[in-house]
Amino acid sequence: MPTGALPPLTIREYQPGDEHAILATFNRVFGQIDPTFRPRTLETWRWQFERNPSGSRIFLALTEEGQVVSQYAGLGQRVHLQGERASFSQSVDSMTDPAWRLVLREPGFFVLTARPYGERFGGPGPDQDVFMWGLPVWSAWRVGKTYLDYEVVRTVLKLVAPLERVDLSSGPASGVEVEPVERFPADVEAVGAARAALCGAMAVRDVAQLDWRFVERPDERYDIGIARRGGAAVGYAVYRRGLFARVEGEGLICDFICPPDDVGTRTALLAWLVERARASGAERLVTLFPDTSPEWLAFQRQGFHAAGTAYFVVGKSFVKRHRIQWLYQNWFATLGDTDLV
Amino acid sequence: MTERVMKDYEVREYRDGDLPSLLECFNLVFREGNPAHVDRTRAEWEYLYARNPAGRTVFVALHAGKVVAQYAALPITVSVAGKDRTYLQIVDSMVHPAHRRGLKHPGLFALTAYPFFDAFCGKDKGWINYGWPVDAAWRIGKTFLGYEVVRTQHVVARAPDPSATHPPEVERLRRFDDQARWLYDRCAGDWGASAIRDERFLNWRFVENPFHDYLLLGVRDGEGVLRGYAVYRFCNWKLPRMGLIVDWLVPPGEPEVGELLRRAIDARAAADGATAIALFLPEWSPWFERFQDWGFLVWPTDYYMVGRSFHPRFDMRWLRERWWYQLADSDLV
Repeated sequence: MPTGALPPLTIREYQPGDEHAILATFNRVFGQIDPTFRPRTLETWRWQFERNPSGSRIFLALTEEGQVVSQYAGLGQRVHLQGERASFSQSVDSMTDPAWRLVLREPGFFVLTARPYGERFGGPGPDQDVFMWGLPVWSAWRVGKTYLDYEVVRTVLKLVAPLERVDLSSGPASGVEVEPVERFPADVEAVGAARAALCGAMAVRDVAQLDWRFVERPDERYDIGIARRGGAAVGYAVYRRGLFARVEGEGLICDFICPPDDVGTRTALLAWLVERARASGAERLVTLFPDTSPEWLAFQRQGFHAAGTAYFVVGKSFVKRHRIQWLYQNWFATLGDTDLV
Repeated sequence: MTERVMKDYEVREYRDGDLPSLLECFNLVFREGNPAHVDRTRAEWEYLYARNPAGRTVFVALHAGKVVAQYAALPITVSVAGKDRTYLQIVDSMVHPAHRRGLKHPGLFALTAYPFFDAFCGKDKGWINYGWPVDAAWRIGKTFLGYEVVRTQHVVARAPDPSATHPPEVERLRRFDDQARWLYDRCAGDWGASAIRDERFLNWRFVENPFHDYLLLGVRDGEGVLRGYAVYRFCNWKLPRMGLIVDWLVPPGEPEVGELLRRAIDARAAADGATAIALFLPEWSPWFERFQDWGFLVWPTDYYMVGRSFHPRFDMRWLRERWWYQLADSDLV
């Protein structure tokens, strides 16, 4: 799609080989605005966009020379949606080269790239996402709400507990043990499916997805603990120490799945997380759960306090049945569903 | 604007003489699907709109001389960077059922709101419109009226402590006096924006309120100076029999005052048989953490707190991060 009277740009879907130009612009754009930014490698890009078992989507605005001026991209999420399979996507890494922002002020190349992206990938059809969401920076949000019909799903509070405040007094349930693993075992899939059955929408936690997210990522390492009772997986947690919400060295609970009413398994996993945090030098555990989920209150009852963040989840639903307020009430996600950790 | 509404409608600011048909319409609309609705009286309307110390902001749409729609707000005087400004809490907005389908989108609701905005909102008028809308009003508000989410609204809540006893240092206040403003000024320094808690506002909101009875609790120092207060109401709200802290004004640097008031609220709520004590607190306030230290949990509600800014400097993020408000700033309780 040529852009008419504007400088000769083409807006189109990603084609193999574009990744080099994407990375060149990505590293230049984000390097200019984020002092903590580490340039992304091609290996990490390929992991993120090529090897995600739930797929990815990218639209680009390119110059005649093949330079990426603007990108709108999303990471796919296969989801359980009220007992059926569907797809969501998390919008990430959207950008416009600052040198081109002045060329077209309103609505800008960002919007010109995002609109065909939404038309192509948003909807109820096969290979489409019924819901697109993200955690935007403020400037992206201004554009998103004005031109792309994004709405706020929730403002985000985090859950925080200094290690000594985590209440383990109920003790792990008799017979529940937490086993550290290098890769996710097959029986963890039943844990995810059981949790998904308790909410309206949740990303699929199968071995392929979990290994991709937490084992195969080339630039971060995660600790994985599987809770077992009588040999069968009944829950799991994923831990990493790192930066979150502008605080360095946080003990991050990146994923935590177990039956919400199973206090014994939750306590066993929390005990393992406290031990992991101590070993890594973190002073407190931090995580996210939807405030509408049972985990939100359960974690508070075990010593976590809610605290503010600058994050807010926004999204656009492409089906009437699952409007934003429905998603606010019924969509379960953890920190590991985001690209924040 | 009247033309846009169709020639059969007149949209304008409220005038004396509109009240009988306004109340008739209001009670018809709010009786719909709500068997607990108690018809609003002239005295109640006059308390809300005629005696509000921050003024009256009401627009109506009339058909054949009778009010069939209203877009209205309860203004509050807010201190923003030391200057008095006006925020408008949008309340009681309605359209008569017989007039909801007569117009194409955006409909009479929005077409009554637009001239209200022209009259009362802007950089030299009301800076912020806000509210906790019901679902139908929120859909119209975001689609046609430019409202956005400030935050997903939480309450901080827990069951009363049955062992609490009323501390003798906490006294019952009959009315607020000029010390309320002194106390407010000591607290407001850390806030970007907050409704001014002075005796006019507080006595109008809590003492002269014809709808509800409130318990005013205060702590004074040895010289009789007010060091903190809490306003309590026992009522059915999100749960039956709740003990609500409708307003809480204590300097964060004086936790011992907060502790006394918290114990007094616990004792009163336990005596009332309350199922829960609850309040609104911004998550950036030190009291948000302190109440959690006292065993309160942070619960979701079904409310979005929404707003529309008429001043480019104050967007929803600024409001979320800087605006101190309580249940007292709402008409929810």
